[in-house]
Amino acid sequence: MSRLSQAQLRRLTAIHGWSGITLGLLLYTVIATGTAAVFGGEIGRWSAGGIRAADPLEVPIDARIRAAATQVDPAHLDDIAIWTGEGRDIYAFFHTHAENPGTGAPDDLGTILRLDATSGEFLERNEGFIWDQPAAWDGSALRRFLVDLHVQLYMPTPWGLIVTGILGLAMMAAVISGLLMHRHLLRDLFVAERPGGRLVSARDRHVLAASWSLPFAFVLAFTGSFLSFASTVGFPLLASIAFGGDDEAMSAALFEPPFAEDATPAPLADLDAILADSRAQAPGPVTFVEVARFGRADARVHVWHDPAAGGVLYVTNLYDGAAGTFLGRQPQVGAAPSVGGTLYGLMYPLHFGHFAGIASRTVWGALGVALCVVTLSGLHLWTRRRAGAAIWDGFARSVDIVAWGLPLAMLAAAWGFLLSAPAANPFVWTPWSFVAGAAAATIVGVVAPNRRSLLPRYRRLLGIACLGLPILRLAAGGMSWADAILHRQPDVLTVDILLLLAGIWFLRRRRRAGRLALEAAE
Amino acid sequence: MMLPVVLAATAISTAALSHLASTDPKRRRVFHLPAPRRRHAGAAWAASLAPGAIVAVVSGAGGLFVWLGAVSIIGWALASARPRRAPRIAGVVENSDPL
Repeated sequence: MSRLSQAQLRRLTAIHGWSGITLGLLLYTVIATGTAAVFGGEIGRWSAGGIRAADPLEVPIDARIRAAATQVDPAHLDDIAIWTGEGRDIYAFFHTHAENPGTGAPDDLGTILRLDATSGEFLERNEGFIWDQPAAWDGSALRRFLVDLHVQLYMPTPWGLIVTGILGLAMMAAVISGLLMHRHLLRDLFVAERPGGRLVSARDRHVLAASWSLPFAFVLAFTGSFLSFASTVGFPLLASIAFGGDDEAMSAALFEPPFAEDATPAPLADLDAILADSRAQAPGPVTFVEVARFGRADARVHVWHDPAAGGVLYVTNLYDGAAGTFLGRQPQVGAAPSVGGTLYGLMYPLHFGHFAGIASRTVWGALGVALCVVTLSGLHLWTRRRAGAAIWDGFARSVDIVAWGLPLAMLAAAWGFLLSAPAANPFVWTPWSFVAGAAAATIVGVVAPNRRSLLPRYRRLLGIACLGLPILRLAAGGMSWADAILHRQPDVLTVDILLLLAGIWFLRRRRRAGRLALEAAE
Repeated sequence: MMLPVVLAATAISTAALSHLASTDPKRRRVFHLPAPRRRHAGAAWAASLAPGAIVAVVSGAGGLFVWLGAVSIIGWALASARPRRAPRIAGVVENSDPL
């Protein structure tokens, strides 16, 4: 496909190979957890969800929010952010802006209430700089852990984001160098892995998965890198250069349309009427509501929607908070629609794959699996070429341990969450269970007599871990299958069934692997 | 409307990709199968990609991205499956490769 000299090809191969080898295992971790994070909504509902007849932002919430506003410190009534929980609950975060002494940066300070949107019952209350307290704003410690692992490898901010941003750049470098290196991309597009477990088989496997997932590998790497660097490098740099270091002025200029300041007290218009009108303006489901300057004549209500059918960009409608009138659709960035704003707006849906409901999430999840295969097959190809050298044989075993150990540790995190949720703090025990699962997987991998014996062991463990999770969820007081069917809660039932099927598949594959090994020995 | 159109378009693309995979000259050579009599590669590629244009018009950019992702995954799956009549090589044993 490409015309490169031998020297250029060697250099590209070195870039492709060494960037993959040095960062491949971390990249695999980010991709595998990202694949799980695509289904964050389903994982949240499965792990911590309750029965609900409708999305909590689809039922009337105006009276609930007004009642909640009387329960909080008036100093926290500047802004209100509202989003849904995992059941019939909504979170209402009444807050102002102050410097967080923990970080020295401006932050949201206030009171967050979790309340039943249907009955109005107050379920939970927390105060302070709540973004530092995930338990205050996320009902599922399991989902939060998996997302944090994907976004910043569970490292402190901003270092984790910088690392994942660099991983995204490395992935882009691997995609581009791989594309340039591979001279027969179209000719090899349908060549299945040749049998025999030979070196060429490993190459076929890597090339095939990489070729088919190439455009999406670039898109996901680019958008992921952009999202990591936007908050750690891009926006701080922009604030420093263009706004004299004033973050709030930058946010206002980029994301808040200009308004005439008017501190005159004025009641908020009917929030339910605003939401109903917003649904008529944008058919996608409401995902987030923000009331800025609550109780003032210059109040504004922002209503975020998922894209409507066929759309990709999220939609934000803007309302006059006091009059309740529609002011227009807010551009992605700035005061007027622009190409740059549209490109910025595309970063999120193209990375998360949430733009077309379960259809796009399923496809994005499958693409995540394909990228895991590309990463691992690339590492395997590299070690196969160097088989016999002690250091690379050891590295090959490390690749196997991480490849199988990561999903095992993620399942262990789910076990830890379900075991701790009824009586302990799952936000503490979920990460520790992941560590315990990773440690167990490492021990299994290290004590195994050879690499060949690893596969049946890991499959047995994965099979048991998958099969046990639905049982454990039910034993821990989770939603029963009867309730899930009766009240049409498909998320819980679907995840349970998929886990059971995966468990059976792993155990059946383990027996097959053992039988084939026995036949070979005979 | 979006999902049925995307599903129908994906089904058409899958059929065309399946034909391209089963008649691919290098794939057949590698697996010691006779060369196909007629391939009509241009028509098959057009049949596999044209539904994307219809999806883009009828279902918008969201549908197009879903179709493109689905076709990428299905194409990979089709290409990964070894031909049924390929001669088996003796002594193939599953090893511990993660994939």
